[in-house]
Amino acid sequence: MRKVEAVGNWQMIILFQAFITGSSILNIQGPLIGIAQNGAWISILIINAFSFFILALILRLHERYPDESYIQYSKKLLGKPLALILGVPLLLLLFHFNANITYGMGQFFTTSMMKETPLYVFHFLILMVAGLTVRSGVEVMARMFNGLLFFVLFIILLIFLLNITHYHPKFLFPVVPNGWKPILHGAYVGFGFPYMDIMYFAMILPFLKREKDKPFKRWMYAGLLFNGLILAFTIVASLMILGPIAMSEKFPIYQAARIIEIGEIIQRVESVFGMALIIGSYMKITMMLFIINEVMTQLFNLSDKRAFVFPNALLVFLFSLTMYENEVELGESGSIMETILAFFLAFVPLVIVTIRSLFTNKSS
Amino acid sequence: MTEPIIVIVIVYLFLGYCRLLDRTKHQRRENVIYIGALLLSFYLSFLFITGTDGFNLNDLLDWPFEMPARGILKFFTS
Repeated sequence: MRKVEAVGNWQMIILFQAFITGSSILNIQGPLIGIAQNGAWISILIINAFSFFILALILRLHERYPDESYIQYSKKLLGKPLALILGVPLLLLLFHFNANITYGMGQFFTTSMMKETPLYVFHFLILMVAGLTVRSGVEVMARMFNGLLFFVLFIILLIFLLNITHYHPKFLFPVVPNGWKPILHGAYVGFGFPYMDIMYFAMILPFLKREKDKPFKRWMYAGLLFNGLILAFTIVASLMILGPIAMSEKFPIYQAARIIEIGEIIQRVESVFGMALIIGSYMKITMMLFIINEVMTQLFNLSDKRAFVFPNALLVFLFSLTMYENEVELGESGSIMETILAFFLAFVPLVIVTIRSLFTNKSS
Repeated sequence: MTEPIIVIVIVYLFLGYCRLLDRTKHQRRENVIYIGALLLSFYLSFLFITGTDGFNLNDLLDWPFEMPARGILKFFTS
């Protein structure tokens, strides 16, 4: 990482989109449909609406402290000891989430496409590439993810387009089969992943190059709305294609890709979904690793950021291999623990910092 | 057991090579945190190689939050 790194408005918006949409567009449908069934798209829209509040907090703090990250202005506002008390659990949480994302990607391949390959092969390769990307810096990430994000979106839309003959709108009804509780449960799970991730993005915002003539906040909100709409669309499309089967599938889009059959030429394009999953997970893991590195170096006042990239990647690698024994444990962690951890270790500190900033002069 | 050992050896060789490339005058605090991270990684490597289910990060985070999380799950699923 060079000393002065900055990305433009558009690149920052792309990074934000890659961060919140990149992997959730492939992972979120299964768990949400499993919980909220036909109302999963309502769950995602409810929690998407709430996430505007998180983004508003982040952007407000960024407006007030444009050259500082969340950890830096936490130190300023709360004092170093309290910032450390709130920052260390956040660091552990980021390690935990990044290991979960890595494990989720590896599990998909070892259970569906490459069953003979050991789990650590996928984890090692993706984390090594992610580590090298983080060492290259945020500018390289912004340039790379621009193309990769569009590629992932293209693949997903292509899968749904090629399934055009399999849509059954009747599968969408009844919209609320078991009352509103499962829908609110789906929204609760969606808070932990992917929407609380918006807060972690506060560690990347200081790299924004100031271009005052261009609207930045408006596009960030538009990006968040786009994310909600596209996730809701993928859920609706998965439900229409697979019907009740979607409720027991972890990756409904993967199943949707399997049933594609156009003549004898285009059939079973699930490997394309595998490519999209690798790219989406790679973008997410890379940015999470970047954020972990930023949090760690700023929390402990370390000057050499590059030196900690690979030790952090190694820890994520080992956590991802040793935390869970099987996919069920990961699923439980994702649907039961992730939201409450994100709420208490990330959202509550963010609210505390924001409230403190309301009672502090900028000069102090 | 042989394969995990080979993987871990490769990973540490790679890490050592990167440390050599980055060799600058590090502060004492940087060295302490680097070594701390390495010690943690040794423990995790041991768990990985032996395949044992030892105390881990998820256990640490589950400890204070598992009960309320289960309570919330019960509320939504009852």
